[in-house]
Amino acid sequence: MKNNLKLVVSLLALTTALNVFAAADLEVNTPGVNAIKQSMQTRHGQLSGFYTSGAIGLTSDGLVAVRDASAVPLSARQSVNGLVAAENQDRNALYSEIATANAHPEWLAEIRSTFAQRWIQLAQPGWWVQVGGAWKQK
Amino acid sequence: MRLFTFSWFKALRQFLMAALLCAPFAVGAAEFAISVADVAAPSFALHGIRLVWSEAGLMEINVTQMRVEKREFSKVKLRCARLLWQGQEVSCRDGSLDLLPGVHFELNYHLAQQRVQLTMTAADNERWQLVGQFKGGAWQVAVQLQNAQLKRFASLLPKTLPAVGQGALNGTIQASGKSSIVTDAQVDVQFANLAFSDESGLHAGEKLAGAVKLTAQQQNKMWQWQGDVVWQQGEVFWQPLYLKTGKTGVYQFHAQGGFDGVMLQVADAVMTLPEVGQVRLVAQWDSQKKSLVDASVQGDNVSLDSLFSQYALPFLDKSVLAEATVTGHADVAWQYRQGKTQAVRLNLRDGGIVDGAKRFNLAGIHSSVNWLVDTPSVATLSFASGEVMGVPLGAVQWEMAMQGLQFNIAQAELPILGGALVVKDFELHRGEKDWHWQFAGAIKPISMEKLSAVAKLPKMLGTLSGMIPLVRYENNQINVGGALLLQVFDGTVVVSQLKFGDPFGRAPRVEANLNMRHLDLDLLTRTFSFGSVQGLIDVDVDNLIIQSWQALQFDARIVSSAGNYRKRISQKAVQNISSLGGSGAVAAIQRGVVGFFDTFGYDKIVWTCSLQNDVCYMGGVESTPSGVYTIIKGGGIPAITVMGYNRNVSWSELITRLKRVAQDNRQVIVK
Repeated sequence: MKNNLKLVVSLLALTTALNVFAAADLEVNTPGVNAIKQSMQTRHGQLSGFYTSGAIGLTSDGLVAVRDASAVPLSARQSVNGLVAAENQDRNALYSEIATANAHPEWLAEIRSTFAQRWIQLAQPGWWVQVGGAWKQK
Repeated sequence: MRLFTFSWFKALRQFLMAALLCAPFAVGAAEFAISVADVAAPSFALHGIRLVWSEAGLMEINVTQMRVEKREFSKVKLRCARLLWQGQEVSCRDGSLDLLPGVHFELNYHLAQQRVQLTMTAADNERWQLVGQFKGGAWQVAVQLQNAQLKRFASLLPKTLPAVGQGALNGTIQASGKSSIVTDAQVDVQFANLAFSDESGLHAGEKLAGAVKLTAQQQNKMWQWQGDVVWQQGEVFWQPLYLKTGKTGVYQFHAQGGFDGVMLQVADAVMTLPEVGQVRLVAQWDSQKKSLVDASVQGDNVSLDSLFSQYALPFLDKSVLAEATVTGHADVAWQYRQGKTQAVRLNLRDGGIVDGAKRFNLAGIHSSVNWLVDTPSVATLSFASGEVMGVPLGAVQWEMAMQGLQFNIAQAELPILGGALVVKDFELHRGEKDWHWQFAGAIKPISMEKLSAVAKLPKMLGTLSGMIPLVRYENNQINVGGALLLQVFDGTVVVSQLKFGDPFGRAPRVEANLNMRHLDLDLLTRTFSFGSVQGLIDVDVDNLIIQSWQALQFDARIVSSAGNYRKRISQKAVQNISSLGGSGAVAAIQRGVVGFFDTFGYDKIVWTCSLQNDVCYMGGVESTPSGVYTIIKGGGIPAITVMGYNRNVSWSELITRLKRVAQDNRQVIVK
């Protein structure tokens, strides 16, 4: 009986927490979000070929990472590193900005996690994504 | 120091001795076979050895398990098509080893002279010739290489090193010693078409060509060595550095030093870096702890262009310098000891820095910096001109006191736009995680005309001056303590609660409260070609948040200042105000008389705007129950009253209209 009560209370707490997070507007539109999205959009043209070749992939924490540098000519590996660093800087800023725009900076981890799932769902066939810590081709 | 090649001979000798001892007992009619359980040496071991020697001279050695250094091999087979024993000489003719496919070898061993000769050949004139001489415990080995393919021995290299994919060697390697100790070694080898890579591809080289010369002697376990490396062709990516030869010249490295088995000393090394210059290096490396013990690097008159772009920029990809290019020459020096930097010298001559994103640039930079970790010193820094966010900077010459990671400038002036930014008590210091800085200061009157031109705003008149309270940067945020006082448009502006979040990031954020008093409307409206309005206004903007240089939120209130002064508004200004809110949003009462007079009297101006979610919720002097509000309340003769009908207006649209009015001086018709 006591255990059942615990379970009910836990589920209630979890549901409440999820409901609270469900209120987050992930499409919130602020000048900051717009500037970051614009920057990411501009960069995407440079990154897309590297997603396709498998040189880079989408990580489970909502970032991108160099997965197989060998898929890139030696002379381009440094610029791939730079693009990945800049993309991750923007992605971190985006998650933080959306949490701030929702007036809930403490939602950062959930927003990051939701975006990570969304990026992976939206990834094109053939791209590499991180699932459970391992790389998997979509 | 031991070479595994020598241990290999020792183990081979043990094996041959074992075979000879066993042979008489194993001879059969057509062949004999012997088995040896193990042969072991420090860097080499064989397990499960079986030797079969047929009457026709064919010999096969099968090894169940072989270890070379830390690499393991299973089921190794060595085959001699003809094993000959003539007098003192044992020969293996037309030999092959399945670990080295495509390679044929000949092996001769003279028992009395204790001399071994091994020749390996393969296609494309590949040849490895090894001659070893053993006498009274002393030995000499010489290897001659001709188009020797490195991939043959790629599998023998430790897995911690990047794998060699291809590459050919020409030249000689010689070594001599006593027992298992090497006392002399000489390497004179040219390498070509060399390629290597680790699994991740983050440490790789391709099409490398060059030469290595090395001589080393050992006495009492202490090695003295000197060497030259010339890298003439190819490219290397060693994350995050990418280096390439070619038109830019060749890389050269000359060094000498010592090695006691633990500490590797590099004394008097000279590196020639293409397009940079020569850099001298002295260092000590702990090979057991794999750490740098001390180092001293010095370069005189090095070119900063390539030094920065090739060697510094790859480490700065997250900093404000990530898109910068640097020019000029400098004398640089760096000393490292006991786990930290001890001294840095940077004497810069006619340097320049330009940000690719056009945020800043400086030209004619000179510096004299001699920083010591535990001794105070003074650095001088000057530049001839520059620009920050489009604002041109005049020449400066500053002195900076340095003590450890604390840097101070007592007072400095930065000339801008005919005035100057005066910086007092500038302090820069290293916090636990990042750098912090702070300063106080003042703005000596700068030209609003020049400032507005730089900011691409309509021409403004007057000057901007003021006091800057304590400005502090920490945790990626700039906070201004106290109030910033400015004089502009003959009035005063107090900026309080001023904060800059992520100031150098993608979405910088500014928060502030602004209180402006007695701004001269005539100066202000003339500036914006808005039509003339005479009078004074007070402006309060509370809870202002600007992000990516766009207003995100504020509560603004514009009210005509208290007091007696001339209050007139021109016909054109009335028309422009009326046009801002869009069709039907604003209307002028007594519109019939607008066309007859150039100016009108007014009693009071009140306009409020609360901005949220890109919507400006507006209000005025007074409202009617229907929601209509008064923006300009008429007074005097002829008077005019301007009413607002729409309370909610799109802020973006309002700004677009304001820009159009200000820039095009567009005539708006009030119907």
